Amino acid sequence: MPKYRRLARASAVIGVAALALAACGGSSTPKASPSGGAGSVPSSFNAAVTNVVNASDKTGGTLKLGPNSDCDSWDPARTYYAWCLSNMQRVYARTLMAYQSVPGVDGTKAVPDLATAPGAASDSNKTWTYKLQSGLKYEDGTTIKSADVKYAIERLFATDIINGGPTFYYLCLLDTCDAKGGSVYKGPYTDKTGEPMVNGKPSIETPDDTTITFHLTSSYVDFDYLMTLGPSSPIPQTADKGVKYTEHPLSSGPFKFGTYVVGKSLTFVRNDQWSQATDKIRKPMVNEIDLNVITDPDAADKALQSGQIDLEPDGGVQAAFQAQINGDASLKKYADDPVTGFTRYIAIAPSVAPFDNLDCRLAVFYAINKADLVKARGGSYGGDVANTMAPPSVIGFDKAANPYPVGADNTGDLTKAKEELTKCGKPTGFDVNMAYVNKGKGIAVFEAVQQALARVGIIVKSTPIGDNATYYSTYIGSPSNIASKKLGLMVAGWAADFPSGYGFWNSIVSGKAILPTGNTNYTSLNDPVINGYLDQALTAKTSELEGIYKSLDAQVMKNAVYLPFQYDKTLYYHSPRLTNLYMQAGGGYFYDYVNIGVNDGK
Amino acid sequence: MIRYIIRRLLGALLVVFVISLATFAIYFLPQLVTGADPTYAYVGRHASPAQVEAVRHSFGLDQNFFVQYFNYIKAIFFGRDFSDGVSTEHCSFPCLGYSFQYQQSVSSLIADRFPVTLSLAIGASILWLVGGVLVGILSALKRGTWIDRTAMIIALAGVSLPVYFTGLLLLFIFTYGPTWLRLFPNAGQGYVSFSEDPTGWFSALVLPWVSLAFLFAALYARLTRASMLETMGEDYIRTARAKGLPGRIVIRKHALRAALTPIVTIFGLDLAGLLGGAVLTEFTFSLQGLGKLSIDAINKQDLPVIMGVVLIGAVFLVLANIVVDVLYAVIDPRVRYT
Amino acid sequence: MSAVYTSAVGTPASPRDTFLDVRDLRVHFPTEDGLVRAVDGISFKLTKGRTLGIVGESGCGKSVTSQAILGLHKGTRAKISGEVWLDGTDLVAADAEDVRLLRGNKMSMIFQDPLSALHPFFSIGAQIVEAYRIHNDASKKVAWTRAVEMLDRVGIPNPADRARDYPHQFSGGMRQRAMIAMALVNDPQLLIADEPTTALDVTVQAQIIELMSDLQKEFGSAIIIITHDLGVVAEIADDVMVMYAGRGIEYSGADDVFYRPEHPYTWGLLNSVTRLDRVREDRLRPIPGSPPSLLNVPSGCAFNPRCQYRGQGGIPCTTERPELVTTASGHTVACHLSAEDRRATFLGDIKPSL
Repeated sequence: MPKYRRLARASAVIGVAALALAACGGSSTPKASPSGGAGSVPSSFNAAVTNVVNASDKTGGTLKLGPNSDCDSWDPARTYYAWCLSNMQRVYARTLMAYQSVPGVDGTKAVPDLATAPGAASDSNKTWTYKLQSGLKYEDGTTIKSADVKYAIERLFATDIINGGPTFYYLCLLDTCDAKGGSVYKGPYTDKTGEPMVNGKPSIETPDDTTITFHLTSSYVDFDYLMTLGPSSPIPQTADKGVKYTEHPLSSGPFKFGTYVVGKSLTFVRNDQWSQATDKIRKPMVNEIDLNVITDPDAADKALQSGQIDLEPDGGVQAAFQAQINGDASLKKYADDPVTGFTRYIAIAPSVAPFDNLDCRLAVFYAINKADLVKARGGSYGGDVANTMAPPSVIGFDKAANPYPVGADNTGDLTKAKEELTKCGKPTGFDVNMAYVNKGKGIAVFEAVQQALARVGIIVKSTPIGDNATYYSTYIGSPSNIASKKLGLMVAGWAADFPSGYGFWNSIVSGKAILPTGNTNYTSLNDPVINGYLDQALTAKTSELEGIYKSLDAQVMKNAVYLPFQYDKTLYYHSPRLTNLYMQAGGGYFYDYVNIGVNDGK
Repeated sequence: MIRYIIRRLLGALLVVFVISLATFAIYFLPQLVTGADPTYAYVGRHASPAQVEAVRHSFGLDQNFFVQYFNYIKAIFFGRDFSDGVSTEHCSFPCLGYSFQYQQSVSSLIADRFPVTLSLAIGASILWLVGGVLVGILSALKRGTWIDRTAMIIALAGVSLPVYFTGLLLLFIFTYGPTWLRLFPNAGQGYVSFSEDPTGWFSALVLPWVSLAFLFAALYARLTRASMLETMGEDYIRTARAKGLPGRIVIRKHALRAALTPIVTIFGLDLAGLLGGAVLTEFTFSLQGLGKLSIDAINKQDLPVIMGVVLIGAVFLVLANIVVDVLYAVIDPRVRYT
Repeated sequence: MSAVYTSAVGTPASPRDTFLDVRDLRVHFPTEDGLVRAVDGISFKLTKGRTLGIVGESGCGKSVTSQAILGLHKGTRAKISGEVWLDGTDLVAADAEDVRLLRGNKMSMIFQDPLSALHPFFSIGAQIVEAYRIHNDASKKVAWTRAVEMLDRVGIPNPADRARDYPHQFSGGMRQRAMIAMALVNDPQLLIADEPTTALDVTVQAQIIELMSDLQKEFGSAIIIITHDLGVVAEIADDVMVMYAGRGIEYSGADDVFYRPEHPYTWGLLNSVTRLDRVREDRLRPIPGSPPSLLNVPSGCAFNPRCQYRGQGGIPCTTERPELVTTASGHTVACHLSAEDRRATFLGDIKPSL
């Protein structure tokens, strides 16, 4: 999620002097091995990535969180901040499916939450049926019914009111859409009698209070994953307060809203209507979860270090604290540095000459200095060098793949680059524009690319834009803008909304996903081979998926329009007093707040 | 005098009107140039064009500039109805609209944030006014002595150091420093309502007050010193002494009154400026005041909030200008308005 | 040093006998650039009912002298030496607080620019009331009556109403009258007027001078009038002290100074006066050059760089400082030229052109 995940941090660093990035050489991070082992370990560096740290049965106490900003919304349908979308929602909003509560890569698996079993798919993955458990209740004591899931999804169609969250997936899958993606059904606020329809029949059926069946317009392999996202969390129609729903969403989870002051603080208290017997995902330990916004990220780091807060839920530590952690083993043992599922890459537009020529693109692939780029983005705590588009957390990740090697030290293969330049008829190089966001790391990345390519005579000119949202929506998100401004090179980043292969790939490589604005297939890649793999994956068996996505990644690299250079990592620090601590991979490696306990006895 | 005030108020209204138009224009101008669209900040990732249009329409951004501006101004005077699908709310005079980001009425957002900024501004202004003016007077009276030199070096530091530096320094010492120095453990973690917890309110605000006041106190000390020195050199001060008045009366009655008059003017404007939001201080100490609100609004291109905060700030400033001018007339009999 | 007036040499008359006896008064200001000798040994006497005019160009130390007499430099960095005997008390040696009690009471002062010398924020009445009450244990009401009475005395029409006005509401002449009223409110025996008419236009100047003369007759006070305007001095002064570079260079009865001046500098001053009673042959002849910096006074006779008789007959202008010496006529002059030469030169070269 290029725009949303980083938003909180980006806006919070204003007025704080950028500190020199600490060199973090020598500490090559151990790869998060997919052990899945749930045995308890004491806290050590990266322990919570693959293990449960300090397993304990001790209950009670308060978990104190200090994010840099409030969530964009607490309405489960309307948030896109990564930490809110994934693990904060687990605290109060249950969904039909949810990510497994285990450390390591197994955490990306969707397992039944409200449902009794994963969705039963039929009709080439076009029909999905779920059964709800019995005895499920909201905080007000009313029973959770399948109709509430239906209503929650129906309200997504009121796009003028319910917006901002990952609602895009549902609309055209469950109703007929026009060319612009506008659905026929406009949601329950304006249409009191209608409902989303597929082929003239209602697309969501609830024959009884515990059964719900979805009829899709097309095959969709990841429907279980869609059912883990907030927008599918049930809302009874009587509780829907429109834009005000964010102020107190009706809880179905172990915690409910206590006091909430918009933009400042939120207290979660225990929901006595929630029953442990119905929930295999959550095992709440604390009595209360307090969230207090600390806008200054360095102040938040200090608060974290002094124990006034237990976690910064929305992001990693700042450079100053990072340097401290790096140099102090007693701090480092409470730090984790997971790969977050975010791939940083440079999109090379074939629509801009001379990149219509594959060899000219390959010259860039070989001349690039990935080591410098990783440094520009914050050093080894900030990420690992990437050679494939898919990050380690996405199925089909091929650790061995490196189609365009740039030397053992990843600084570039200038000989190969010059060969490619000669092949493409530009032996002395050429001029090209580069798009990036004109802030902090965007500038550093531009400079690193400029220096690297200058070594073979490719002169990179700066064509940045200042605003994140505009950059991704209408600057590089508009193929016509790319062509008219001749944006040959574009800095981009991508993480999936859910950790499936399809979720990762479809938006960025599918020829069918090309949009006039808000496009995420930045190079307008439309390769029949790739499109074929995607179609194949929609109906494939689970066991076949790994092979399909591996081939897909190789084919994308073969096109040489996306030049991946880094898998992002984020350095987190946690309070020593936390128990049952692990990083939940499904939502992008955040700590699983709902299950954390505190123990001051340590 | 009354006629003067009325005339000034009408002038102020015009100024605020022009500011509102300018702010509106500044918001839309770059979009015309770059084609940026604030809607994209709200639709979520890979929203379909239809979704984008729906949101744009719900914000009223699909109308042309003048219609949008007219509706905005009309709402201020006549109110406006806002519907969120479930219910319709009437936003009454003076309606500043609904925030794109928070989907709350801007008036209520401002009302919500204002106590924070007010607490910050009032506390800091008392500190810097008392501190700065006293140091300035002392410095002027002890001109050239070590007291004067020390005070002026500190003042120079105060003027030179940005508030986020002083602020972070204070936080590192008194909030995150050695345990015995952690006098204000809750500083930097947001505002505590005075009505709920007066001591918490106080201890959360002491460091922000000090950092903000340090900057201003330094400025005021220098100003007061200069003004005081100038006044002490005035002929009428010599006259007062020639009359046989004791030194303290000369200073208190004759010098201070004249020397502090320009300070009053600057103080009024500074205070009003702060009431519109002390951005850096609020940021440094995680205070959710008007300054923080406006920065968030700018980041999220939240037009109604930007407009609201700018207008409130403008109103404070023009009112402060009037108050200061009237006060001037009260203090200085040479100034008379008709 | 003058044999007559320097206490170090001997005192012909006890200082206590004269109402005001200034002896070898020096006021030096230490500055970053060096020592400013604003007043560097000045001596004069004054009895009640008489008026002394101190004249000289700007920056010759006139105002500093007067302020030193009032003790306004006490408590500052100024270094003051010498003696100022006022009615039997040495003000230089006296306690600052004692001098303050005399200030505005037994001795008071009128300043040059009444607009800047009056406090802009207080009414005229209030400022006079303040001057009165500081030295008299009187109620505000009594003091106010007194203030109105004083304003009436100095010729301000409708004084009861005007007392409530602020200085900026007065005309220049009226302001100076008010200033005089304030100075006289405590019946001072010594009144120092520092350029009292400079800021006023000519007709008002005459009125103010007349007013001061009248008041002097009425109260019998001693007056020191400081001015660079010889016309004013001619009108009102009994004695005249001409100052140059912080020192007196000619001191005598007014008639002597105006009709028989002996110092080349005095000649120059007289020469540069606009006289309304004569038709001039040619334009004004200002004294060539400009007054010396008090930081760096020329050696020998301070006037030597501007003196057209420098070195005449081998006199040691640049090496020896001429002292004030009393001539046969009782005229005191500090000049190396012999008394005969001076008289001859004046009668021969200067007088005809005046």
